[in-house]
Amino acid sequence: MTSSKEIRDRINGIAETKKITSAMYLIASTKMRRIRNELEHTRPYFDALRAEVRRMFRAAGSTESKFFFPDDNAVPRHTGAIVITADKGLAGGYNANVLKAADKLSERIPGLKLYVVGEYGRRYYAQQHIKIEDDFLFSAEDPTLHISREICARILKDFEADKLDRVYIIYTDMQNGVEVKTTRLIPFHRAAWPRPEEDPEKPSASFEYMPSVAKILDNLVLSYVTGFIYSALVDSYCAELTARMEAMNAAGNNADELLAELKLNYQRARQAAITGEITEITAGARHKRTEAK
Amino acid sequence: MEKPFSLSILAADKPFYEGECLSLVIPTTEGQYGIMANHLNMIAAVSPGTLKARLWENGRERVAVAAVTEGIAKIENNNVLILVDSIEKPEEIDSRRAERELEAAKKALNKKAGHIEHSLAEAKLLRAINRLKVKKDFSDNM
Repeated sequence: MTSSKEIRDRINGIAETKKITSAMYLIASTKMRRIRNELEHTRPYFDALRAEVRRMFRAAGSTESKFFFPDDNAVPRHTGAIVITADKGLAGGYNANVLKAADKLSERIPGLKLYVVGEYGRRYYAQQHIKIEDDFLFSAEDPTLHISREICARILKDFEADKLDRVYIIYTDMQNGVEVKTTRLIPFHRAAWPRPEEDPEKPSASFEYMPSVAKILDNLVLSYVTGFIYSALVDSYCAELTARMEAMNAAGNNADELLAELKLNYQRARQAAITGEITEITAGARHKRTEAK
Repeated sequence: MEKPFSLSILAADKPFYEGECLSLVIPTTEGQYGIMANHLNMIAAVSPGTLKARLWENGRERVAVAAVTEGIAKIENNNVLILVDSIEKPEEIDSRRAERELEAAKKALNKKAGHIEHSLAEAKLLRAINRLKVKKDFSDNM
C-alpha cells in the first residue's frame, strides 16, 4: 500500500494543476466575450459588402478582372492555402482537426503552398519536414482588422506576381457548430454565389455604375478579401477558445474525480497507520504489564 | 423644403451613421459627387477623400464632415448605403499619427518594391494626406 505521504503529494500536485486549468478556462471565456463583441461591430459591414459584391457580380456580364470569372477549365498551376491554427496547444482536438483538413487538401493538390497562421501549425510542419512559406508569420491570437489587411496584402502580392493562381482558406467555423471548413478564397467562384431565383434580395431596380462594374469590383477586392480573412480568423479564434474551455472544463472534472478517489485512499492509509500504531502501543503495554508481574 | 432621404454609413470597425440626410457629397474615383433625394439608382466606387453630409436629425439640420477610405456607395430608391474601410470624424483624427503615417508611406514609395506594395503604399499616402486635410479644414473653421 502506498504511504499516506505519497498520496498527499499527489493530491497537492493535482490540486495545483486544477488551479491552472480553471484559470485557463476563465481566461479563455473572457477573451472570447471580448472578441465576440468586436465581431458584432464588424458583421453589419461585411454582410452588406458581401451582399453588394454578390449583386454586382451577378449584374456584370463579364469583367476582365482576374479575381473574377476565372476560366473554370484552366488547370491551376500554383495553389496556395491559408491554414489557421492556434498559437498554443491544450485546446482539445482543435489544432489536430485543422491540420487533418490541410493534409487532406495537400494530398489532393500536390505542391500546395502553405501559408500557416499560428505557432502550433508552424511547429507541426517543421516537425514533419514539410516546407511552408517561412516569411508568413502571423499570430492567431487576438485577430485584428490590421493583421487581416496585412495577410490579405501578402496573399494578393503573390497572386499579382503569378506565384499563386488559386487560394484556399482552411479555418474552423463557429456558425453551425464547430467544423473545419475548406473554402476557396480567390478567384471567386461563380458557383459560390447563389443563383438569382434562390436569392431573396433580388435587385429591386437596375443600377447605373460609376465608373464601371469592373472598376468598382477591383476597388473592393482588398476590402472583400480582408473581410473574409478577418471573419475566418475571428471564427477560428472563437472556436479555439471554445475548444480550450471545453478541454479545461473536462480536465477540471477529471481532477475532481481523481481528487475524490485519492482523498478516500489517503484517509484509508491514514486510518490504517493509526490503527497499526494503536495495536503496537497496546501490544507493547501488555508486554510490559506481563513483564512487571 | 428639401426632402430628406435615409442614409446608412457602415465602416469595417463600426456602424457609423444611421438616419436621415438632406444632401450628401461623396468622394468617388471620378471626383466629388453630390447626392440629393430622388437620385437615380446607382452604385459608385468611393475613393479616399472627404465626405460631407447635411444630416437631418429630429427636424434639425446638422452638417457633418468625415474622412473616408475606399469603399462603395449604393443608392437604391432613396436609400443610400455607404460601405467604407474606415471613416473618421475630424475630432477623432490624431494629426501627429497621420503625419507619421505620411512619412512612412513616403519612405515606402521611395523604396523599389513590387507592384502591390507600391499601390498599398500609395493608398496609405492618400489616406494620410486626406486625414490631415480633413483635420486642417476642421480646425480652420473652428
